[in-house]
Amino acid sequence: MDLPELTHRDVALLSRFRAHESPPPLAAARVLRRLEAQLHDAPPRAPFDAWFWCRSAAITIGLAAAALVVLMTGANLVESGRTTAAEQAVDARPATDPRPTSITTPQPQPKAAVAPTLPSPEPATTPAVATEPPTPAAPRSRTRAARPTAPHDSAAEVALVRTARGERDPAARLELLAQYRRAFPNGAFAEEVAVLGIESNCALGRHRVANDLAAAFLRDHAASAYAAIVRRGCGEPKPP
Amino acid sequence: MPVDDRSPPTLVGLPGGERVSALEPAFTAIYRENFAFVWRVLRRLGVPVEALEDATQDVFVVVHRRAGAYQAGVPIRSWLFGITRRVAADTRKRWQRNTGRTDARAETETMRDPSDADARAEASDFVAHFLDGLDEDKRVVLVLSDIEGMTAPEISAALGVNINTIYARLRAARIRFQAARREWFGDAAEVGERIG
Repeated sequence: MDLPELTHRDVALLSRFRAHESPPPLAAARVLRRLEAQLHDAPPRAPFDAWFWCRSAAITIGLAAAALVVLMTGANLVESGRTTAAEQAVDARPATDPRPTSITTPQPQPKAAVAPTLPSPEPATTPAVATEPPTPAAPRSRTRAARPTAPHDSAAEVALVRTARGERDPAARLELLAQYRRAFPNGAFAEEVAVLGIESNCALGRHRVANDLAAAFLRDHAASAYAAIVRRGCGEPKPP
Repeated sequence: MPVDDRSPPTLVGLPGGERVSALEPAFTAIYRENFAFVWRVLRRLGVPVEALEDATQDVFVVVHRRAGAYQAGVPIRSWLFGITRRVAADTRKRWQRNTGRTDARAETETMRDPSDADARAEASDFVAHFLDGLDEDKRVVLVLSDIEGMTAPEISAALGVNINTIYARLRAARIRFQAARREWFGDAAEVGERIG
């Protein structure tokens, strides 16, 4: 292949262009300092520990209570044979049929060791349900617990936020936060996630992006408990 | 929690001398040798001036994270170029999303240092204008070969393209470059005087 040789003029032009496009003298030092901060330094501690954990605890307790109510209500409906309209329509037997509809939810084997095994002439009643631990892991309630998905999703939501908070690498933390927003666009921790995003960008030295995010946060959540924190922006370097 | 009693890092010094790097010596060496290369390639791949520091930082974050995946036989600049190209694409998208600008390169071409000497500025104007008008395949090959000094096998490895294709693109790019230079400056002798 006959490759045209560059003339000395061509070389001079390209060389001048190369020099013109080269970074300014202090850019390498600046970027290296930021890299050190990003890759080596301890991640900045989130300044809202107490508030975050209070909210987490409140949401978790609330969701657990809701799940308990749903489980107990669902179990009662099952035991009394009054489940859903669809099930009633399918069931051709009279409503007075004493056979418990809970037969549709088979009794798990492990539970037999715990629950009374004596045959009962009556359908399982509320007290029998009430004696069971009201945890989502209870085998008996598993089929019903699967219906209300909110507690399960919320647990994943909390777990994802906790993972993001514990992530030491700000870039990886930003990825987790993006993952959170995709999975929970209306999540309960939108504010925390936004603040973590601002902090992560600060840690990466992207002050301009952080400032833009902070401005958007203050515009959307002016009354937030985090507003004072966000208002500080990237602020001064944290003490060691 | 035990107190972190590590000694202050005393590894590689930087230009300016006021600070030393806490990063691994091998990484710092790669950084120092290739910082300008990454910077220029990012620039030529359309990253606006305002985003160059962030983008360069992103490249070396990826380098640091993927250092274990580097294969010894691959030229370091070929490997770096692959990372740089992906970071440039991400940066351009982010920039366009955040600013609404669709042509970051054109937007920033006007931000030249007014203190540049005329000849240098004119040379830069010409080359930048020429590269902007060149299709990306040829532009990348010309930049890597004739501006960054990479060999054809290195470029082939960086782009994952057959080496004959690299030569063909380089040939076409050089022919167009020389034609454009003659047209831009008019007389070749005049060019020699200007840049001499």
